[in-house]
Amino acid sequence: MLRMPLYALLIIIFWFSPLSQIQAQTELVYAEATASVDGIVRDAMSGELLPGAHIQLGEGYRGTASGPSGDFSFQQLKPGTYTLICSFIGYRQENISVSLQPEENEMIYIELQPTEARMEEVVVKSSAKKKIAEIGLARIDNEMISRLPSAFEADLFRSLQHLPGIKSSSDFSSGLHIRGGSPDQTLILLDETPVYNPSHFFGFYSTFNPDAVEGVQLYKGNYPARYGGRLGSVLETRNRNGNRDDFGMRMTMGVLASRVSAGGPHSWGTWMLSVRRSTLEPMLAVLRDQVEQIPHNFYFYDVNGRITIDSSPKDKFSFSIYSGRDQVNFPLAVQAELGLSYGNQMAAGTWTHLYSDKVFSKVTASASGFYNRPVNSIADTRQGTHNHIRDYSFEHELHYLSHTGHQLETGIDVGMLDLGFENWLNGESTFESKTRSLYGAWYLQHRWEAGERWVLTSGLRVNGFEMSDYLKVNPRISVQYQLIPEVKLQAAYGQYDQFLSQTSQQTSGFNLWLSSGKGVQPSSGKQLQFGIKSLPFQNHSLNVEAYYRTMENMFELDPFLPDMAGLAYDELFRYGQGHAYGVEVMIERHTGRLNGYLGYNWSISQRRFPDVNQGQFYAASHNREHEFNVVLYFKMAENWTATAAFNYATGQPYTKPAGYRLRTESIPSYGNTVVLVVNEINGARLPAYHRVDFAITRYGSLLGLVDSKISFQLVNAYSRRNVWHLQHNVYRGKIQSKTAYMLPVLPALTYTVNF
Amino acid sequence: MKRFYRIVILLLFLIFSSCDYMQPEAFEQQFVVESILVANNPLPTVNLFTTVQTNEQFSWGGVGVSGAIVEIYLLDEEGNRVETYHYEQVSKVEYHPILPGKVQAARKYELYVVIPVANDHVLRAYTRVPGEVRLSSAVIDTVIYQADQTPNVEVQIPDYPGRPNMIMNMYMADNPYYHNLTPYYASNAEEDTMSAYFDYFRQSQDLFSTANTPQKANQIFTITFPWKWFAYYGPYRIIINTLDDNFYDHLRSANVQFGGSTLAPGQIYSAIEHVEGGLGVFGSVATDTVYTYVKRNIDK
Repeated sequence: MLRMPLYALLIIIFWFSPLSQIQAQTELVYAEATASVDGIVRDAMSGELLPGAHIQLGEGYRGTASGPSGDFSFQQLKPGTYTLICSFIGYRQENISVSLQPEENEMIYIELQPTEARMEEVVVKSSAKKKIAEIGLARIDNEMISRLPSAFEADLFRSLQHLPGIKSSSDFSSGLHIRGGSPDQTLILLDETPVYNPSHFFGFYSTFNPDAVEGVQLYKGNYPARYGGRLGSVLETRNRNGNRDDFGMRMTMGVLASRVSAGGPHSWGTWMLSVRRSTLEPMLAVLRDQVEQIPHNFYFYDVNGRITIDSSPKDKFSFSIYSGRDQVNFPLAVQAELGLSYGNQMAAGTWTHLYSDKVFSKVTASASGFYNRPVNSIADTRQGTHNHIRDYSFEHELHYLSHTGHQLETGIDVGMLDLGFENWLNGESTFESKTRSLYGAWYLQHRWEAGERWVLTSGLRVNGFEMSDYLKVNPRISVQYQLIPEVKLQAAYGQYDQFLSQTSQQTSGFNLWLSSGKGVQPSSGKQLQFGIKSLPFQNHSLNVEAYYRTMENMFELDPFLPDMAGLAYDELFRYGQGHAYGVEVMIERHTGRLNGYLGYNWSISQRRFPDVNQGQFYAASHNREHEFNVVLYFKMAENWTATAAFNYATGQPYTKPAGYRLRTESIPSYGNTVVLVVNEINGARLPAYHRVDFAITRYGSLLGLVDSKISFQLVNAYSRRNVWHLQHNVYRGKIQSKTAYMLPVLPALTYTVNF
Repeated sequence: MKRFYRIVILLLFLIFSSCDYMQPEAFEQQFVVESILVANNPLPTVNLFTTVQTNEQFSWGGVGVSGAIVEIYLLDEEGNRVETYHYEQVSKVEYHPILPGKVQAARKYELYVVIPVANDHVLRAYTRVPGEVRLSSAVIDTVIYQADQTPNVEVQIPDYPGRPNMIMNMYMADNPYYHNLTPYYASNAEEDTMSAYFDYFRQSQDLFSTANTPQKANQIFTITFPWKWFAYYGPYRIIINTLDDNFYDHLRSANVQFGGSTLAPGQIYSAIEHVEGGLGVFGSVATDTVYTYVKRNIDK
């Protein structure tokens, strides 16, 4: 009960203590007669407003990000001439010169050119040129995704896993463990719409076709008030816009899948359509005659599309879709088969309206769903599950820019979550759970550039969830202070809620989502982080971030329920808590023939459940204490580039049985006759994980007519047999550990043609 | 700039050379007691032994606990002891009741063990025996494998306090020979390695709740026997067990130690057991048995 007043007090102290100093500075600057620049960032091809673009003021280190409507503002500038450097993932950087007279307010429009036709450009450089990022924020553009070596297929999530603080549980999983959180703690948005299980191929790849989406922006922690519903992080990506001037087409052929993308102008805007499908069938057909148990049906596909319509200079509409599906039927034995069908669908429409040069709004209506239907059939006995999650939402954002360095954002997000979970046996339902809940959120965020050195962002988010009778106010605050031109200090604090929980099985296609509900309160957590962002040398940056986060009232599906029938909803779960803390260091060289980065991450992530590990905290299964990444790009010659990525990480924790016993004959045998004795959960470590990947790319043309690119990739070049997990069994009366390994060396070849 | 990189490399070396903070706890030998009361059956054997380390061979001759005082008490609803059954050691592991006694359905029992060789270490556990189970429909004497109708039977099962009834059907083949294997199991077995498969296939078990089982009046449930549990053609005994909490908790948790469930690969948890001072199961069941004969389906 005392917590809310305490937080309120902290907010007030936090708010007012720097304010007096900032006000004093502000008054001083006003006395000198200042000027200001307001602007809007657009896509030069589609005219679409671009939120999240980075705008830097000259060679100094004052910068900002464009708001939801592509808007930005610099206030209290001394009169003079400035260069605005504007950059954004998937676009070429623009430099614009502005001359300001005393008390002048300049309005500018910046149009960024998409990097669609990047293939002819072989200059090796980083998109993150001389900019100091926001705290907890990471961006990766398509260029980096396509250059990083990957097993068979360029992948957005696997590219992210080269950054400090972002891990996967294994080579076989594209699930993101960010800053000690589980994959369900990251909100994944495609065109501002949640995607609930973005994986193909049992989780080996993410669903995001690199030819169809524009890079990615990831808040590793302390995300802004406009987002909600997850304890940890927010990952945003967008479908690409079509080319406004000409029809364009791209084809990529790979070992695992092939992709075709096309886009171009129409009467009122642009369109884009991209299709990807697995191309495994011919290989499987060959293998089927030589190897047993080859799937007789195995494919995946996805479709991305986007249309933009400029109905007036002040009104823009965009419509986005995504649909993907995986299907496998796997013969296990005579009269035995495993089948799995799963997929995501998403549709979203957005209307952006400019009321004036200071006020913008954005309205988004969206629907998103995920389903999976695993079936196993043994000896004429068919059993399986039907699971789905559907999310229908409506969002309205309003953005206001003032002349005095203030930006105000507010918005509502209302919707309905519909979850279904059913077990069946021989066509008859044996267990069914349906939850349908309205949810709603209102947020308010204020960003204040107070003078040359301070940026203060404060916000509130009110979250409500009908099924749990839940209503909570979450404060969020971040502060940036420019210590010297090359060094920026950052701090942030926030509170977060989560209404959903996802099981984490071996293959993501089997995972199911469950929501808080009757007797099951949503999870909540707090995050605190500090950052030092610096530019110690020309073309180099050194960033350090430290974080601490809590996870309260985590609810997980009880793993010991052989049959859920008859149980109350709250009896399906076990409830626990967790915390994570760590330090991330990243040293980056931005330009030159050889560039790239070194990343180091030290992190601890622990969990506690009342009846597990004697009620003591234990290491989360994905917790790797030390992790070291090196990513290097090298321009070898004209039209030739090479990329290398090295990753070293402490081995994952696992539970080593301390002892065992056999069951006597007084126990009717059920499953195994051995019972393991566990003293400490996850008290041992697997061997360290490390591997190096290489990629060599040659840019050229096909018959001198169209651009082409051929890339050879070698994943796990020295074929390190990294351990996935240990499986225990009994052999001749003794316990034996069988080691399951991750990927060996994997070569891959891809060929891309741009029309 | 070179100095800067040297400092960075030195820092990274120091961090990498540091040790992990975790070491698993050492093994401690623990006492295990196992005994399952069966309603309307004689008092069961109590097995008393110890755990061994994972790198040790487990032999019943080496793990037994001798000289223990073993007693089982019949309790009233308030938990008072109303009858005492004394046990004596008959082998290194087994203790038998000195005087015969019969387990009563729907009653509470207490197990009490004192181990003098371990400073009078005490093990204690409680169970509530499920109510009596009775077949209430005619027994199916012959079924044709994978015929249209999946075999089923009607059974009267009283409610168990606090939760739906949990049932374990045990399928016991009485002619477990290689040439009698049904097609799915035959494809998983080879004749020359049949000894390895014998125990695995001869008995199979199915654990489920009666909450969604078709129910008539008076707690009469229709229990279905899916084809996948029949590994052999020939005579079968199907023992229908209703489980108490202790046995159910043990089975549902110990069974996923080697995989399955929603646990991530390699994750192991302790079995859920309710023995004060040690490990094991003092559980109870009520049972009835279906005898049937599985004939080959000549059309398949």
